Amino acid sequence: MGSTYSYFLSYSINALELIAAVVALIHYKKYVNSSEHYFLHFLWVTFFVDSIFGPLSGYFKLDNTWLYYGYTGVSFLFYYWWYHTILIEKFYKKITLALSIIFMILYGLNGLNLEFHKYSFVVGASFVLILAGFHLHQLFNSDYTLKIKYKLSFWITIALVLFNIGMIPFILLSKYFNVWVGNAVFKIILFFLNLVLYGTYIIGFTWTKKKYNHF
Amino acid sequence: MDEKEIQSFLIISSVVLFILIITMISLFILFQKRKNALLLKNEFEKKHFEQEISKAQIEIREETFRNISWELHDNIGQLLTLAKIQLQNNSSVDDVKETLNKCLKELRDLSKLISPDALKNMSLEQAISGEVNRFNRLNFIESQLTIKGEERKIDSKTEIVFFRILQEFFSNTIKHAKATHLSIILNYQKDMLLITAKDNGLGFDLNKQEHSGLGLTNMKNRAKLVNAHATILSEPNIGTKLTITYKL
Repeated sequence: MGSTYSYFLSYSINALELIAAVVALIHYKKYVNSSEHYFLHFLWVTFFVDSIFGPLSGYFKLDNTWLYYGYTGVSFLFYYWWYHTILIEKFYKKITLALSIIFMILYGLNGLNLEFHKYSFVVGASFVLILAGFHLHQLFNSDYTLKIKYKLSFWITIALVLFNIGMIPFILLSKYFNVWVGNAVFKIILFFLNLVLYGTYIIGFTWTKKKYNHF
Repeated sequence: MDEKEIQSFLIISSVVLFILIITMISLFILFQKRKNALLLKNEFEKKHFEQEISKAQIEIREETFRNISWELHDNIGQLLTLAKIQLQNNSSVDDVKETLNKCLKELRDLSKLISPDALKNMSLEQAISGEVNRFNRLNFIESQLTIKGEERKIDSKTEIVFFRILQEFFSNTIKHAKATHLSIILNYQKDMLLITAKDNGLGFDLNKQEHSGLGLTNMKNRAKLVNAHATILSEPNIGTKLTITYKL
């Protein structure tokens, strides 16, 4: 029963990814002029990696560790690149570049040892939180604050903050208690965090208005 | 799942949930506070803007009263005095008639110019043109208005501010500059309105503090109020030039 339950949760996460990608596609016109439009491609890539390539490699009994590790690296670098384009202050841009370089070095070093793969995620997620903080600070000091619910970059940032701020203790504590996160019960937490992530994306894509997505 | 796993699950899920909730609440409070502060600031700015517009309107009206007073005294009064002298000296009826006709014409012009409806619906160009005509008519200063480009409608509140800035400039020119020529150009460019007013008067040294009474800072601040930019250039014995740039 545990295994069926675990499968169900995994498929639910895939379903969430698909719904978010479809909603992003439906509302594409609203944010086509901003750099957020790359999120449409990113969401579809996520869906294909997680729902098609992952299970396929499992089916052919191939080791998909590197597929997921590769995806983790690409996704964090994508977030950093996105923040680099939307952050206005030069100081923030420089920090984004520095964090990207530090991440790439640590990612490469951690990649050598399977045990350390999780730490790449923790480092990457921590850097995302820092950059998200910069972006929120930027929004905070602009007139967008008055109409924040229409700004897509706000919702994407909130989604990333909530997901990563939950993922960091989840990974670190599971390591500390030495429990297997693939366990069905622990997958509930993972599912819950994904629900928050994609739910927030969906709200963002639905509520956003074209005139608030210029950059 | 053993007891240890259940325990760790409970701890992990509680920590994750706790952090999520704290983050959500903090973000909500932060943005709500910021939003309220911004709303208050906007309201204050709006009020300040309205007050400044009213102030400019009052000043325009005061200036108009002053002008009427001058005109009644210096122009119409003079003509009536002339008619009286002509009557006392038994001049020909035709001469007296001509003087009185001239006087009536001036009176009609003045009446037309200061009727509230005319003042209210006047465009910036008409208002400036009225001033220019008055200066020429009363021989205050030789003035000229040039319009370049295709005239476009701008917000009436912005027009009021621009007119008041120009009026202040004209007043300085007439009162202090001893200029003989005044030229005003309204240049409507593709996405910009460029207003230039230039006199050939005494001018002044911009670096000296003693010219603070000329209201130069006031002119600049008023322009800022409607998102325009005013610059004043002056050279002693050459003249003064005011430029207002406004994005259309």
